[in-house]
Amino acid sequence: MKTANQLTLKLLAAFSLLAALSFDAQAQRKVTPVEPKPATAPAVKKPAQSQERMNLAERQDIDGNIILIDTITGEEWVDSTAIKKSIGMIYPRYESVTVGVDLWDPVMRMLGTKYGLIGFWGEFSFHNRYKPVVEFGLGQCNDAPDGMNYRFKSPMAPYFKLGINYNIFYNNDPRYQALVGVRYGFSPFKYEVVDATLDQDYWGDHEQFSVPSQSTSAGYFEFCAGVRVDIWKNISLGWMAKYHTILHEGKAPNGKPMYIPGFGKRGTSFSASFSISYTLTLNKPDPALVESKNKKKKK
Amino acid sequence: MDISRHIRPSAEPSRPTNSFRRSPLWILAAVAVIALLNSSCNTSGCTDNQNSLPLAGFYSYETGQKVTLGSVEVGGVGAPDDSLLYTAGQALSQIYMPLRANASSTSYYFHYTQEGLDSVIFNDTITFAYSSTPFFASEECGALFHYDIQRMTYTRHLIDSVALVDSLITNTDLERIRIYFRTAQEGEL
Repeated sequence: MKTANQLTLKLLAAFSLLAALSFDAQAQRKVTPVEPKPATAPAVKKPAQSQERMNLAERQDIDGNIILIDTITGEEWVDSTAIKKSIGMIYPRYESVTVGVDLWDPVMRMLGTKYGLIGFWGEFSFHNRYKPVVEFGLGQCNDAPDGMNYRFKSPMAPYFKLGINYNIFYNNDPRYQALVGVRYGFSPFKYEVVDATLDQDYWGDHEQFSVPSQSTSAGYFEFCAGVRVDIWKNISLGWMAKYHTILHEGKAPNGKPMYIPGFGKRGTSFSASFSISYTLTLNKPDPALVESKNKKKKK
Repeated sequence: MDISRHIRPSAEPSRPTNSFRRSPLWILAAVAVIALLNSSCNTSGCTDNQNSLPLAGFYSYETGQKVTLGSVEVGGVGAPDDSLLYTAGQALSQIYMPLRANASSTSYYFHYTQEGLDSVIFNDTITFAYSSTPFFASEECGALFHYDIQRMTYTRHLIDSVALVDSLITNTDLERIRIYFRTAQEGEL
């Protein structure tokens, strides 16, 4: 009897222990708090809990970002903390206004060319990066090329250009700029050919004649690249090399002009400008942004 | 290491990011390349004549094919000292026939030196009546005249007919006149 009671007690104790353990385990599962997602963590699908790092292969892409690959499911994750964040544009939207005078034509005339007069331009700088440009100038030509039978004359006429420059070093000191840009130019003008001669040796004829004055207009495209450097108190010097091509021109029943104001000689594909300019700074950059940029540079 | 804090899924297998493609620089670079290619196609210098010279070709009336004449002299009517433009002995299949700028018509005669035809009575004459317009061709080609041929007259001894391909004579080096000769057979007269 005693043995039976002892056995019953042992069974009850064992059952109680199992029940207690079972209850404790269930209670603990209920109260375990769920860890909240960190505010900075992106809402992403986590890899399965059963996956430990041994299931993840690590490699780098061409930009140096670390990519983790789940070797079972094939899913990929990019290490977001390692992604380089761009600095953005540190100069303010309305950064500066620049006005300049193009001295290329006057300089070239001093060196002997017989065409071109002068040009003026204004430029508005957005973020020290995008710089819409307007140009206005005057052109004129009076040229009798060596060995040729005529004199080409085009009286003084205006030209207008509209375009944009792009500063490659937009986050650097605006006193030093490397620029590429495009322009559309337009000019209404007149021209004539005088003192023309025609020798017809076989017939023994020597003819003098003129090609009558013609009024026309021309539109042209320019692609330009160059540099601009501050030399003294917001005064800069800059030059640009230009490729240009005629887009459209008016009718010319007695022959097309050899000179177009603002464009230059018809047969040439390349030209240049040399400018002196003054810049008025409208807004300065946020010093914190500049410092941040400089820190990144030092790293 | 809790990687969930530091990773984000990539929507697709990661590709190298190319900041140049997002920048306006690539557009400008493309324009520059096109511009340079275009400029390399440009020509310089006068590739045409520096005067408007009508170019005439010789053809056989019978076959319609081009012929070469070796026994013909060509001269301008009223040329100083009766000078010839082309002398016999040259193999001619095309000739330039310059028009007088200070006149409204120009005539040329053809004298045949072949045996049996070597007489002025067999000479042929072509006369062009035209208007001339001063024209500026280009910086390299200069100023010249364009001629608009309005009428042609000709004799028909050995010449059968004369055709005008284009009445406007410019400094472009193209055959504008076709002279058809009576030929016994294809080839040299």
